[in-house]
Amino acid sequence: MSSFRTRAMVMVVIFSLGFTLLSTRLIYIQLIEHTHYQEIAIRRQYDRFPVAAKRGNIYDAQGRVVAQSVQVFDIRVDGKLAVQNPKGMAELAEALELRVADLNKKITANNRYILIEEEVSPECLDKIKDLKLKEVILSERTRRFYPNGNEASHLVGFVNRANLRTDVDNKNLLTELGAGGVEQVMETFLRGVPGERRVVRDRARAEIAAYRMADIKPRNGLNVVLTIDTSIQHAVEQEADRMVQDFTPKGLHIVVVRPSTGEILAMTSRPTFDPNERKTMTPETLRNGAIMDIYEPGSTFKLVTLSAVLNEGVADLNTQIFAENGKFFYAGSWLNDTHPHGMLSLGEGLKVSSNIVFAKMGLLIGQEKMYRYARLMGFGDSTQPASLALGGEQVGILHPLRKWSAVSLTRIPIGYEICVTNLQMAMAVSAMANEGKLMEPRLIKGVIDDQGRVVKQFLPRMVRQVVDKDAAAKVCLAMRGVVSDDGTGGQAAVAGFMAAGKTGTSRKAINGSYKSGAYMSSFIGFLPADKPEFLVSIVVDQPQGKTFYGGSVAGPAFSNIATKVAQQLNLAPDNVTAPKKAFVKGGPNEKT
Amino acid sequence: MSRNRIRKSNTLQRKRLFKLLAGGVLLTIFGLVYVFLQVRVHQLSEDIKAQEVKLKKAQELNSTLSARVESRKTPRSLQTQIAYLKLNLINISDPRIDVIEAPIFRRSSAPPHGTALARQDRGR
Repeated sequence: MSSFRTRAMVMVVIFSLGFTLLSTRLIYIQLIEHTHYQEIAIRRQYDRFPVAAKRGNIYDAQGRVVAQSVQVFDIRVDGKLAVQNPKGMAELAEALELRVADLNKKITANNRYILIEEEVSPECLDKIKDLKLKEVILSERTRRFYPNGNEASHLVGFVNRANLRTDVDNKNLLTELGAGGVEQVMETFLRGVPGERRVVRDRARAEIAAYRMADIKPRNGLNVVLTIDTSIQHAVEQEADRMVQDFTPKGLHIVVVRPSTGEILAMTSRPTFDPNERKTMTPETLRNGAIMDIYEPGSTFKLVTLSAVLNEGVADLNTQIFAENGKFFYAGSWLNDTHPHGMLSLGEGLKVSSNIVFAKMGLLIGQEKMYRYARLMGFGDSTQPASLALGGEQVGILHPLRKWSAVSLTRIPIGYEICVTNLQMAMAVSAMANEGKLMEPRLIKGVIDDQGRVVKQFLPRMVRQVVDKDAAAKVCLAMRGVVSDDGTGGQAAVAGFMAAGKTGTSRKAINGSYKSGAYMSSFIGFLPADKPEFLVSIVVDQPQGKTFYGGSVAGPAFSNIATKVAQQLNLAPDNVTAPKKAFVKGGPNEKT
Repeated sequence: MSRNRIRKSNTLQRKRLFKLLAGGVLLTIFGLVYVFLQVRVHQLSEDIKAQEVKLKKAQELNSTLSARVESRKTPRSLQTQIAYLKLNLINISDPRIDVIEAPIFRRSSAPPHGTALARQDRGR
């Protein structure tokens, strides 16, 4: 009996101890290690992940898409599983319209994330999804798409993809980052803010939708509206391609602006790149020559000298100047004209582009005033405020007065010893076409949201009044003479319109000395001459072939571009008779 | 059994029994409704998720197709189409076109060059 009682007591003690230990452990887990286990449970069940915001679109002035982000899928394969399922791979090859042998070549058992095809079409994607192959991995991403290809690529820019750390558990998010042009300048508006999704998962890591917590929605990027018009841009690009074919230049750049507002309607450079094709992007092609390349403008700079002279009232368009029969000796150096002339009026001097006449004009107004007017017209300075400047804009070279030599005052007025960008030149001449008001070049019209509401607007801004209205009108009048049968820019005439312009041909300095046969040919002009709606500035770097004069290289290009731009802007013709050579047989302006 | 014992024993309290039964039934109903509603919540949330997936797919397709449309609307693409289809379009400013109704021009009230109105003007 006693042994039974003893055994029973022992059992009771053992069980009691066991339960006490168990209870102690439970209490320890439940009360003391509560937070630790709660954290583990939360980590396993709850998940937070960032939701990407859609990058904003870029539109042209007419609301046509210039850049947009598109969802794309890449097809990848788990090599280890794929080698075990040759039948499935054959089906995949059929869906992708690939040869089975080609597909199998890409598959290796030790690579579990093999890229098979990039950016498959939606139809193809559906076919692959229907196959339900566990070896296939659909990798989703966005791609920046530029429907116009290489057109306006220097302005629009491009994006790079980068993994950015977010505030959501420090998780990374693949994000498109602007890396050039407007994409970079307007990055803060275009990018948007990523959102957040918080979910509860089951043991198999699948989301339990009923327990989903409130999402923080992403804020999509805002859309940017440019001043460029893709139709005008296309006309400019076509002409640039033609010039590259005809003259095989080292480079060329064309700028089309609206003088009254400073809006850039089109801008192109050669060589160029296609932002859709990474392989076309090289340091040379990425250069936006219109704002990055500086050159000695040559005769087009005579317009600056002319406006200074007229504004100062030291001469008029009818003032007679002796052109020294083509040879002028000053400060120990000879200056020549292409064709010798005797007495010329100032207006005629511009028409025939006499270097001697304008060198004398420089001497007439003096170096202080020459320098001051060049600065007033924006040379030696950035054309835009830093916040809106396109990356890499050069300010050009305009030496301070202390660095001017004895001959500088005869060279700068004719566009030597000074370096400018095409955009600077375009804006300075636009000031003449805009009653002497220098405008800030404007590429971005505004920022709008998804509903089209205006978030930010960039209005036209006048920089300063550089010359008075009368002087500007006289410069425009003189420029009309250039685009006439006996002017240097006769080939720039536009049928049905009175155009105004100036040719420029300057020798190109390479490694500090002028190289024979290397020229910069340019033409700058606007239309209609009496009330300019647009201005075109063309610069061709080292044209090859029979001719190198600005009037023959860039002049016809101006005529072609201006004809198309006038059509696009729906301008009523001036009913003037343009020189016969401007008409193209069978073309839109052929006389009946 | 004596009469007294019968009198002292508990009688069936119908009212209380009814209350108990009614309470039980109500509890059961509430429980079932709760379970039913929970199941519905799960079903609906699954439906929402399925709709979200569909919506995402539609948005993806939409973005792809809109990109295709945009690429076909570019001036270069349209020009290629015109050449390919041999449409032989001519510019609206071409003198061979007689515009019956003069469009609104920005700059001038003069009839456009080459139109019937312009020829009448020249004739005057």
